[in-house]
Amino acid sequence: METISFNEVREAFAKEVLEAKAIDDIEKLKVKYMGRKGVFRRLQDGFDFQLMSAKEKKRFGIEFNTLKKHFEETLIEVEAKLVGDNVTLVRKIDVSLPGKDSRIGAIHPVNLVQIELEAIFQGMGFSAMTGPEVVSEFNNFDALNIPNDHPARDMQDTYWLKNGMVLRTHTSSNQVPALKKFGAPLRVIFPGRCFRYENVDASHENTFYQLEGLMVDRDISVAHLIGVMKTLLSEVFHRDDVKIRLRPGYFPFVEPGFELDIQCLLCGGKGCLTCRTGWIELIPCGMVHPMVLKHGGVDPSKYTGFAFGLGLTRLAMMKFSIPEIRLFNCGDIRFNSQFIATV
Amino acid sequence: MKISLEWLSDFVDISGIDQETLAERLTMAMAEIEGVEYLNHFVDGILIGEIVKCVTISEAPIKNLVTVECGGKTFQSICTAPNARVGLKTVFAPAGSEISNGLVEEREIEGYKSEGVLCSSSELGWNDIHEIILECPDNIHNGSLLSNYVPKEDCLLDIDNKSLTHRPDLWGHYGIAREVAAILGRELRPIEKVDLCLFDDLPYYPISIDDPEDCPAYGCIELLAPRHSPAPLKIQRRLNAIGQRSISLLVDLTNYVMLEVGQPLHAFDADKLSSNIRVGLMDREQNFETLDGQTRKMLRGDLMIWSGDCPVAVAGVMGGFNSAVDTKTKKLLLEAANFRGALIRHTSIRLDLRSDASLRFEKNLPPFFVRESVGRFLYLLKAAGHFSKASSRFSFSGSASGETRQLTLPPKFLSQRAGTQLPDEKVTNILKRLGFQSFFLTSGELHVEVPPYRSVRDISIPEDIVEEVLRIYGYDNIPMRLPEISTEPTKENLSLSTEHKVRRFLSSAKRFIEVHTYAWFDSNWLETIGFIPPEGALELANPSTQQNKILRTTLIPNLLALIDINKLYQEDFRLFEIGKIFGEQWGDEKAEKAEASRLAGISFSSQKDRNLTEHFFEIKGALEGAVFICQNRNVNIIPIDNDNQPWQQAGCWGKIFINGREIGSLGIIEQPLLDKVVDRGQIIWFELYMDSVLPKRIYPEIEFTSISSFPLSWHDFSILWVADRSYGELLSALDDFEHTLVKRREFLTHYAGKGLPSGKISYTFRYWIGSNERTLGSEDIIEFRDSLMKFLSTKNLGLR
Ligand SMILES: [Zn+2]
Repeated sequence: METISFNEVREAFAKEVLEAKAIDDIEKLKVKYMGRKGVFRRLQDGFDFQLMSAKEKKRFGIEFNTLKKHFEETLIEVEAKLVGDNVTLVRKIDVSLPGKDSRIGAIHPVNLVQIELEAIFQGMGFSAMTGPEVVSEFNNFDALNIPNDHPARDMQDTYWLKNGMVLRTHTSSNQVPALKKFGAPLRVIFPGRCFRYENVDASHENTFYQLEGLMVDRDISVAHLIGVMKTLLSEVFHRDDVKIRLRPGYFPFVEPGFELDIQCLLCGGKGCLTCRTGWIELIPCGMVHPMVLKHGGVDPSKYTGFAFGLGLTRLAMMKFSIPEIRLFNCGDIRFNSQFIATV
Repeated sequence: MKISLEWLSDFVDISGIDQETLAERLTMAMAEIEGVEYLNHFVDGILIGEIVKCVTISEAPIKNLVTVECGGKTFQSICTAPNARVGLKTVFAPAGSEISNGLVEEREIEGYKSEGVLCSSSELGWNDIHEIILECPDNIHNGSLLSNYVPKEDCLLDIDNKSLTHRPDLWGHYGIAREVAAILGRELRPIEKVDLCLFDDLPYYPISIDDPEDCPAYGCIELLAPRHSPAPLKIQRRLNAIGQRSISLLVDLTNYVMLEVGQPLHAFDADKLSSNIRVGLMDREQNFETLDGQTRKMLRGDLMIWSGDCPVAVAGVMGGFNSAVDTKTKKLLLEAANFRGALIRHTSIRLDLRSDASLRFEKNLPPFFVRESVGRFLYLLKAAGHFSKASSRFSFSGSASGETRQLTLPPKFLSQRAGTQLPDEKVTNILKRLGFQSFFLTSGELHVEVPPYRSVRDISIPEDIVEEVLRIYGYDNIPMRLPEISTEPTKENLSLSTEHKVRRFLSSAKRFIEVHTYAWFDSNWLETIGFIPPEGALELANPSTQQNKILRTTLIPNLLALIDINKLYQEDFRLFEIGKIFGEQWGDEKAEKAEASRLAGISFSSQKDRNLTEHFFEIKGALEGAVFICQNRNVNIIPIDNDNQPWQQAGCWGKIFINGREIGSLGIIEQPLLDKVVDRGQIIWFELYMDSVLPKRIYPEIEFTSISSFPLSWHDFSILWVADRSYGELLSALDDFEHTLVKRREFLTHYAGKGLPSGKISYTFRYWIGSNERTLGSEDIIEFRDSLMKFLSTKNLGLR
């Protein structure tokens, strides 16, 4: 009978293992070495134990078992590598399985943006106030220098209640109540829900959120308005190269009134499909009209201020790339569940 | 509104600046230019000619063989326009010239030679009116080049009407030209007019105004009607380019003056009037035929123009049929007036007659325009070769047309508002460019004289001057500044921060998804689930649809409606909403507040192996947690055994209390409602009064209890309780037990079934006892057990 030595086996195996490229190859090696007619069997058969001393037998046993163990381990290792994961027989627990109860819910995207803005404004010394959604005609219009026959009342189509109240068309309805309550100086924001009579489609909603800001103090100027808006937008968009511009805009409760545009962050102002002109109209704002200060019991010869209205819904659309405004109030979990509660 | 740059160039030189740049500068200093449109007209080689022969060669469709005389040369052409006739001066494009449908070629049409095309305005590239050929005034020589009268190209600026709502002075080309001149720093040419003083010797045309508030100014002049004729080509082209149709000299000129000065004009047939004019409100309901032949119902309070006792026009909206100009008209009464904008808006919206004129009147036009526009009209009439003899002087009633407002600004006012130093001479220069005379007094005050075209409503306070100066100065030239840091701490908003706390907890710890639903109910859905809104619910006077007219009084129905739309995407989900509900009961004495804040949630599961009880207690746990983080204490929930709202079914729901105050309710939904909401699954709901869970402060006070260094021991007791009474009741009974050694009581489990007396349930509690001073001995434990037993027997409670 042909005999083979341990060394030969070891070397041949090392070579063949290196050549193994697939699980099949490993299986073949297993059969070849460990099988019933495999190399180990033959190795065992090749020795006549009756001719060996006890010492020799013991040595053979050690050598044989060490080699066999080496083979087995090597094969497992190579097999694991080939399988491409760490499935092993030795681990007590597969820590990679999913944890229990790890599902996180979601916060409405408008509220996510609201929470973030409230934090930014708090850092700038602004308190927050919400105010009612059903308001008097006076607070929604007259107090804001929008008299009964003013065309501006046409500009904002209003939901009227049978009792003569209105669903507020803007968070500006808080301006006079806030001035009355806190007086000047004042830094306050009013986040909240507003309503305008509109037919709902992809880009129109009758229910939306605004965040109005009001700052009243001595000597507040247009330069301050620009400064605060720029700082705010840098924080909101997490960029320090935010460029803004003011141009004339008309709102009866400010004078002068502005439209604030932000340079398109997608194209850097070159003009793209989103912005067309390089600029995006973002924040209507202006210096608080002296009539509004008077209605709020603040002396306009001593105090000046600025006000601005951020569209929270609109901002959420920009921040999260939401293409359709009507998604916000649909309650469809395929939409709402995307805004994981990470704040 | 569209502005033609070619027209604008009559008044200001805009050469050397490209159209896009001009649009951009107007956007930055005046109002947003929404678009720039380039027009190409066909003029090269095109001639004015007179039709000298017109022979019909086929009827239906009409086809004429026309001979055109163009300065000594005649051409033959086939023309299908119904207005082709002998004697008509029109526009002829001979073979070789180019028009909008391509190169004109000599052709044979049905055996006739056609040497060119008689042109409609569409063929010249002015607009898309192609049915009729152009009609030119008689005073143009045959054979003249079209290029002598109309430009080869033009450019239109499109301005959003809404952005000019507050600027009644900008509703015509001249107003825009004034802005362009100021913005570019170029000269504004005067608008040429006939001096109306020329007619001062003629008799006054009687005007009376009932209420000057409704009609601040009314001017008119009586004239011989001009001969019926087309308007000059230049005027026709301009009107066409900005989307108007050209009709006749008279109509075109009134339109032209409106689009130039901004003041609508109206012409009455003077012979159909009773030689006087009155402006006054309708005092009863009456039908009135407007000049378009339609009968309109006029209501009390509509502003009308009257002559004698007869209404002859709906003021600012449309003239009457009874006083309309026609081909037989000999004498005109030309009206330029000024009405209260709101009245005009109201009537024109009601009659659905929103015209270019009413659009302008709505803005409260400056009375200054009244005289301007009549002078301009007469000038243009004369320039068109139609000197009309006046038979009255220019008659005027109302506030002086040249009224100007004076304003005085305190020293440094402008620089302070800007937040940057504005040099005095720069300020006065900018104001001058805008037509404001101004000078600085030695006291530093700025005196400003507001021009008459901006003295009505528009410029009335010093802040208005700030806008005028800064927009021309350039907002970009104001360096930004940050306000002084305020050291005053911001005021905490308890309701907002509590809302956010709850919102974070439910979403991040309890996997709820936040949704928003509308502030109103859907009445169809309410009917499906059988809910009738309570008395005092608020109703919209003008809902989007009738089924959405009632404002929500609870958040639950709108949330339930979401189950059906979402069940396909997930077989189990939890939703919540924080929002307002509305109703009179929340109104305070000032009636400003008629709403309350609510938190509501629903949990849905259609999983087959879901255990309803387990499901319920998971949601209840979430709710308890939400209240606990606000109030730092536990809620009590009392089972309710009768029906209330459709989702509050006997034995399936309870009221939530904290400290004896009711703060909401929760429950499960059973049949028959369940089937109406969803075909298969379980629904758990809760609704909480947010205003009632507001803490006194955001960070609740927590007092540390010292940790005993002596060990505690525990003792379990299984107490028997009547099955038809609730666990909550058992708890409140046990709460009465007081003992100094008891540190804590813990609920372990409950059991109902074999081995218990009938009608009883066993609840197992663990009492932890101990002392801060010593290790308890067995006598303490015995004493504790005895007193507990004694207590239980006083409550008639036994152990299992
Ligand atoms: Zn862009």
